[in-house]
Amino acid sequence: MGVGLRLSTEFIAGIIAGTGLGWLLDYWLGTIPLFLILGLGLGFAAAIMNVLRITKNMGTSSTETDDATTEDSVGNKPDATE
Amino acid sequence: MSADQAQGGFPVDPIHQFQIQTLIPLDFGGINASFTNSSLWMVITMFAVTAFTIFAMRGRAMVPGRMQSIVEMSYEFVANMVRENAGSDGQKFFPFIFTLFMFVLFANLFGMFPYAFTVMSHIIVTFALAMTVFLGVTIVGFAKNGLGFLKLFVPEGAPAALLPLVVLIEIISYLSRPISLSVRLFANLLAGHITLKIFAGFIITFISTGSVLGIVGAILPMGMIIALTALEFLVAFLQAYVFTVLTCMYLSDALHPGH
Repeated sequence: MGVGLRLSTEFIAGIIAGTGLGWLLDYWLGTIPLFLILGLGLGFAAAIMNVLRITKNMGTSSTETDDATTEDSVGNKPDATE
Repeated sequence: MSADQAQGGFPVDPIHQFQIQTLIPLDFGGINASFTNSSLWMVITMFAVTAFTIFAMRGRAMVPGRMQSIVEMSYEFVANMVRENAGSDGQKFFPFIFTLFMFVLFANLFGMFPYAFTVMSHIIVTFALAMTVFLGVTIVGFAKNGLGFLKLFVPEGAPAALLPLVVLIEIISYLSRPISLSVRLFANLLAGHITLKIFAGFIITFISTGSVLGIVGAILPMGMIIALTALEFLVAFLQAYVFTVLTCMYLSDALHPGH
């Protein structure tokens, strides 16, 4: 329950953030579908990155959520895009 | 609401517990700032945490009593969490993080009382908390590192051609933090409390059949409720813990963005 919910919220949050940012840009610039679509794509990428960042340390440590949450503070930043 | 649905419909309205009721109407220049049942429970939570920590520590005994050792345990628990996740320079922010943890924990635990209002089951409450954390952490990051904070968005070893795209994705990923932080806390509590209500409704449905089989069958959802209540206590603690751990990690990113 812990891991699945954590991953799904991270995923949804990435998409919402990207799409929301795109929609906000459109709202200000009046270019309605352009940035919304771009933002959706980028949000999707960000969402996948969010998920990868959490799951990266899962295989090495035990499968507990708590371990995973405490450990990705230590080692996820440097090579987050790989 | 539940009475007129009793014929054929589900006997309990599982959403009813989350309804906001205005207790004292207040209006500041067109902004509805009424004192609601949600505000009431927040105030109760605040006073409970304050009273709990102050009165329990009043003795200041060398050998702590029962209450004092509970407070000392929670102090050490949060202090270790801050040290492990935010580093030793994160200790400066301990008061804020301790307050955050105790507030969320007490609010969640108060939500387990019958007829109590679960403050954290409203996304606006958790989102306000998450936004406070997010803005605070961003300000700390810029104050500590100046423009060096922006290194957080530039991962090492990315090819130069892809860099603008990667930075954009990193920024969106950063902006998604308050959303995931608030949604996780809110969704866990909302879902848990709705599940409890639905299983409670099953008991009524079983019993209202009137047959012996129905009354015996009601034991099944009853057992489920007992198990779920225990799980909900775990969730109440775990979500307060996760919220605080993630705050510490974001703080750590703000304090040392380069690594």
